Amino acid sequence: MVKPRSSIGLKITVLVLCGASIVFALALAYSYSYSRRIILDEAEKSARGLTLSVARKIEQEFRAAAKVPKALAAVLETSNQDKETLLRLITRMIEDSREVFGSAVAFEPKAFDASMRRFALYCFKSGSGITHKQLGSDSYDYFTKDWYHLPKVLKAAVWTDPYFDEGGSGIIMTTYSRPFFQRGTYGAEPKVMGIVTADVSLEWLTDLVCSVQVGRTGYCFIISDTGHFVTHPNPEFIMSESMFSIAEELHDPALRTIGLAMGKEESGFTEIGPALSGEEAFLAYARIPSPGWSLGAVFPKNELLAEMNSLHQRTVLLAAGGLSLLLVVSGLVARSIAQPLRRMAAATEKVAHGDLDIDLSDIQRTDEVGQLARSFTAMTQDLKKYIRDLTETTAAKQRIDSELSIAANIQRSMLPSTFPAFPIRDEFDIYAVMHPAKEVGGDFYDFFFLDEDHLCVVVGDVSGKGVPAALFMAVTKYLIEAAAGMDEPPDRALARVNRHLASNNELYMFVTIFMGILNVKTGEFVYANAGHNSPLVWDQNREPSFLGPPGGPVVGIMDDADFTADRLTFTSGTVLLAYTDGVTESFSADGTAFSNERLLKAVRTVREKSVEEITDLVLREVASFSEGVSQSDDITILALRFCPRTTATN
Amino acid sequence: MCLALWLWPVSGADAQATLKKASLCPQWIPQAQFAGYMVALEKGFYREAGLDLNLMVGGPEKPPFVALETGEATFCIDWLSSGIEKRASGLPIVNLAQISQRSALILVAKKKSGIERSHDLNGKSVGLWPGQFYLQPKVFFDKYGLKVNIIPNYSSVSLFLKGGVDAMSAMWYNEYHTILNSGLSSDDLTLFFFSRLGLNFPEDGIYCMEETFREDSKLCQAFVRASLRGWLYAFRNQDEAVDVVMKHAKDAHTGTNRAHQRWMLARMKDLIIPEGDTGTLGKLDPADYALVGNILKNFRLIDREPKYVDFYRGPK
Repeated sequence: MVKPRSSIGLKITVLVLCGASIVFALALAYSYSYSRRIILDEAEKSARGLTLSVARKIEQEFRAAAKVPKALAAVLETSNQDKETLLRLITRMIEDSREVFGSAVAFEPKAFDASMRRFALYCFKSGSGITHKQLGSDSYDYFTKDWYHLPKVLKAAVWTDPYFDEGGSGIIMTTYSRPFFQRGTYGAEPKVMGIVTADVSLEWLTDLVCSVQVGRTGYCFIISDTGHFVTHPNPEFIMSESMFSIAEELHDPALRTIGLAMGKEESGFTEIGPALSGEEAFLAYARIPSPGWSLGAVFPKNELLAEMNSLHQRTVLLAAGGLSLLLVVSGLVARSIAQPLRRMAAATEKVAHGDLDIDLSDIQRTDEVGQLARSFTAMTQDLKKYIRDLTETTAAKQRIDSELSIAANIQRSMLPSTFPAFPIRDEFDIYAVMHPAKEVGGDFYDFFFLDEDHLCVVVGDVSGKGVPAALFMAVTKYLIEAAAGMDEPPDRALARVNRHLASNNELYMFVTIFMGILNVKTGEFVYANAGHNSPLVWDQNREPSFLGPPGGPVVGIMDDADFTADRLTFTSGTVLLAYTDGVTESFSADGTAFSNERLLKAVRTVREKSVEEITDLVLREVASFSEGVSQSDDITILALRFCPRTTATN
Repeated sequence: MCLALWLWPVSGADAQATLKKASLCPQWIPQAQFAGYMVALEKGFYREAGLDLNLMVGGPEKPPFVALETGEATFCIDWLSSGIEKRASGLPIVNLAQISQRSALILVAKKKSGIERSHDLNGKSVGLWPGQFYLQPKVFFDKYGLKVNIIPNYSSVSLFLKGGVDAMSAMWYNEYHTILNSGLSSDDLTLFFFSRLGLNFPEDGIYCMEETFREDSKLCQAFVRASLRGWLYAFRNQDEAVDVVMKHAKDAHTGTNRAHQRWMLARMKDLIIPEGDTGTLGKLDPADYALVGNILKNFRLIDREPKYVDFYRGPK
């Protein structure tokens, strides 16, 4: 019956696993990001260090190369040299310099010799030694070359863009060239006399950059001040692509920004994306100040993070293993809780269907589940006992109920209940009802002829309800009957009854009684009231009113109580309506009493009707007034109409 | 529609049988400036037109009209101004088609030097290429009364980048982009387009010796048609065209990159089929011709303009 989907075992397992997974995931994420940061910080430090140190080394080479033109310019600015001396000078300078491949001294038109438009001496290292040649010719107009034109216009030393050696050896060269000025022009705008250069082969640079180990798969490269690649593992990049052209081709504005930064900043470290090496990478860079170039080192991200990633993978695997173990354990725990619970649920269902023979004795545990099982077993045993008791009680109650109903019958049979009560007497009509609140009640009425002409009418109400009241009522009824039979007026009769009841009344029960004797010939009515509600009286000329005086002492408490008798003469049509407080003290749902006023009002509408109709109407009014409220007191009504024979005959 | 028909090879089968040998000397090194001819060769448009074309490698050492004169080249590409100058100086060459309709010559100036408008150039140093590149800037400076310090500039943009000059002459499709891809942004630069300053000198045109045209005008027309077909194909298939250009550039070790050639090809389209112009493809506008001739005369570079009808033998 238990759906596995909503089983407590599954819930516990899922919750435990979820919780543990979240904890694991958070811990793993934290450890990953933390160790990643440490590794990247370390990588950045070492990458910056690496690029700075390599850049510094390259810078030293460039500075050393720049010394040759500087020295030559100093000589040329201080003295005139003939061609031979100049040649020896240049040769000597190159010999002494490891870095310089060749050097040229080029003069402005007519500056060396007034007859020569072009004069440029170029010495360079070749296989055997140092050779020289004249540079200026119609096909090689050196004035238009960057190495000459730029320093001349700028009047400052310049490192040219790298270029492929024109000899076609595929070697990349760069030229440091600086102007030299006319002697003795202090104070005036110095006049450029010519340009001195040093050609630096970048072969060593390529070798150096290639030899730098950047991790396993990383590499170094150099870009010029215009962002063009001077060295790069991909030969197609060299002198062709620039950081900016790649950025444009790949639509990667970030790469362009990095290219700009490399040209401006001394050093840096940044993520570079897959643009340069085809995979996500970091780039460290450092400037080579002399030519304004920049050295970059590419660190593939994967490689940097490889060890950490594999550690992380192992950790994730361990976590997964731990979670599986946890799954098994929590499954077992959940099962050990859920199984007894499931059995108890089944047992409960059996109990609900009335089967109390439950055996949970095999759940031998000391924890809450065991406690629950024991309580459950105890409960079923208690239930069994209770049901047994209940069965007995019910049987006893049924017996009492049947006895009570017999008692009720007996009580009903004690009251005259056949109407018309005296079919042969037509001087009056009489009708009475008694509705006990329980099976048996303490209210009663009675009427009987004392002799040919005198009708005795009694309505009484014993304090309390039920069997005691009924018994007390039976006694009272017969005492009244007996007392009335002694031909005494009502007050005396009541006093007699009172003495009898009070003398042996340990329970202090009492009874209120209205008792009247009507002379059916004359209409004379003698009555006494022992603490009872005043009956109503009316006839054709008289509105319904309460019959005074209000009742005297109740019967059964004080054995010497005095009762008084009063008289009233009934005329033809006079109606007497006697009742018990069950009528006027019937309560409606909102707690108001039926009251004398409502009784009066009800009676006025039916004053001319028959006694039976009057009684029924009052009963109906009371019943509808206290609709929905269980009857709290016995209700008794007795109605008597006097209609003497004389009047009837007349 | 008419153009398309005109571009189609006239007699394919006949041409297939006997291909005529011809050679083309471009004005400069292999680059997208000549993409149309490279593509026409690559896609076999010249063969379909009955030509066995040899596309020569141009450059500073190979002046196109010299190649025509010596007979090394059957056809050449050069500027209109050069063409007029040559014809006026007595070299009997004819223009077979005016490919570029717009002048791509511009002045690039640095905003950092305070140059935002024409008159800002006053007192600034401007690097100018010598020769025919000199004309438009000179007329422009005269027209606006600008006193500029002209500094000769040669093959590179280094002088400009290193701060030697505040502005320089540049080709829109070439040096301007080189400057952009050397770390300057277009926001840093002010451009002066001569084509918008009343100095629209149409540039690249196809030339041959008048004799060549007289002897085999069909060959000449077939060459022009195939070349224009090459251009149209290149503009429609720019990736493919850039591939072809890169192949030629690599063979010539020019040291360029795709981004640059892609830019150049796109600009060539703007120059050859300017937006809004229709039906001008390959044609020489007599008004443009008159403007260029006039200025050449004013500069006394020529004594008298050649007659338009003598000079131009291209599509009408």
